[in-house]
Amino acid sequence: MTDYTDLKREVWDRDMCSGCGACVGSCPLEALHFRGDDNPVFDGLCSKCGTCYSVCPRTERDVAVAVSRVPENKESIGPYRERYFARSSDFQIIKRAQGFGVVTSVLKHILDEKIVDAAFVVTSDIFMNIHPMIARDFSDVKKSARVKYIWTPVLSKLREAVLDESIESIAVVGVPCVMQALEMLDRSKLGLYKKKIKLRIGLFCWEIFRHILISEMIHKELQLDIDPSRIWMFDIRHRKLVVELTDSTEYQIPLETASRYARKGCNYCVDFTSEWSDISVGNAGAAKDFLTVITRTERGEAIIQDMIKGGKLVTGEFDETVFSLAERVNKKKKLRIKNFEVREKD
Amino acid sequence: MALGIKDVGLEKCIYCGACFRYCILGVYSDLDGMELKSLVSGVTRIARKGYRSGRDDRIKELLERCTLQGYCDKVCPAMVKPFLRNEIAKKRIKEGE
Repeated sequence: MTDYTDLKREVWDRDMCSGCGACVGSCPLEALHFRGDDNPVFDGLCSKCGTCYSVCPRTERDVAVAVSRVPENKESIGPYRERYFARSSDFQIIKRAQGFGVVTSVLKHILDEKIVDAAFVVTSDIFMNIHPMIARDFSDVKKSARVKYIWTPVLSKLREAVLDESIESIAVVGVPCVMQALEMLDRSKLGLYKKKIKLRIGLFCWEIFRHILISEMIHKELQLDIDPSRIWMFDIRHRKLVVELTDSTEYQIPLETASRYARKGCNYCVDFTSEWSDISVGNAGAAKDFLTVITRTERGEAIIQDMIKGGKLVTGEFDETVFSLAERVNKKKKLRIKNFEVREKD
Repeated sequence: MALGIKDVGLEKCIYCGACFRYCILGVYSDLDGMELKSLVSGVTRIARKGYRSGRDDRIKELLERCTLQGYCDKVCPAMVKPFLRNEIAKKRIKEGE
């Protein structure tokens, strides 16, 4: 019989928590909460039902599941149906969103076409405080259009969406750990939640940064005192974390330096391209002015095909040589597998 | 045709206690996590095997608070039918008395 104390001992206390929010969002007694940047905290009742443990992508058992994908995909980007270089055809979206508006356009498409009723996205206030949001329509989606690279527990919205708001079909946009947690959810007994997740849109992710360290990072590494309200967005380009301000000024921090401000749990993630998603999207391995889009399931492929045929996405000629960067980064991230081995010896 | 114990979906139950905890009447708010779990186990046992005086007295007493409002079906994360489970357990208690 497992409970949150097992999760605490095996994951939280070892700084392995990915912060996906699945345990918080699925606890039947609402006893887990995020209060800050690190691990969930227990505050409430526990009936030792094991739900939190069963959905966590970082437990002993699930580590084995994650590990099992490594040998077979060591040099690839995981199972897929098609790969594309794509961008939105809507210049208003491209102008406002990041990543050539691909994710924003996909969200607009699936909400407009009623493929899903809502989507879990990430948004921020003017002070760059990041939080998960349930987007019901395009006006909500627009609020999430900037990529943040800052952690927030996306799946903590599960209960609210399903029980409080009675949403029937949900798309989730998230980084690989979120996709892994959805896979765990799918294997769990939590029928109420898993039947409502209809689409997984995974983002390429090397690591994600801790919000409380943004100002510290900018202050220490750039010797600048920037009011968070002046930050327009973060981007990663050519191994640099780019901080873009609202006045279009850009500052760059080497990724190796920025990594010191990443969540520690990212050290245990061996997935760069969101292998457990229906559609994966990312910058790496894309041709100029395009984004890399990987469809991994029939459903994901059907959506992208519909969008291409409907003129909502523009595609460029796929180039294996250019794309190989994504494969190389993915391969490099899988080397983090050794961190599990170190942990096993603890 | 009346629904029976097989229709409850007991094999899916994770014994979390949400069915009682989130009763719309709030009549189980005094129970802690493990008491909720015991209550689910007890009601399940009665629904499956029948009521036994003595062993199941505490469960019977707690189940009497249930007025079969049905909100429990909405909150069950495993999509069990706690309403039907409780209804069957109540019948079996009546039969066993």
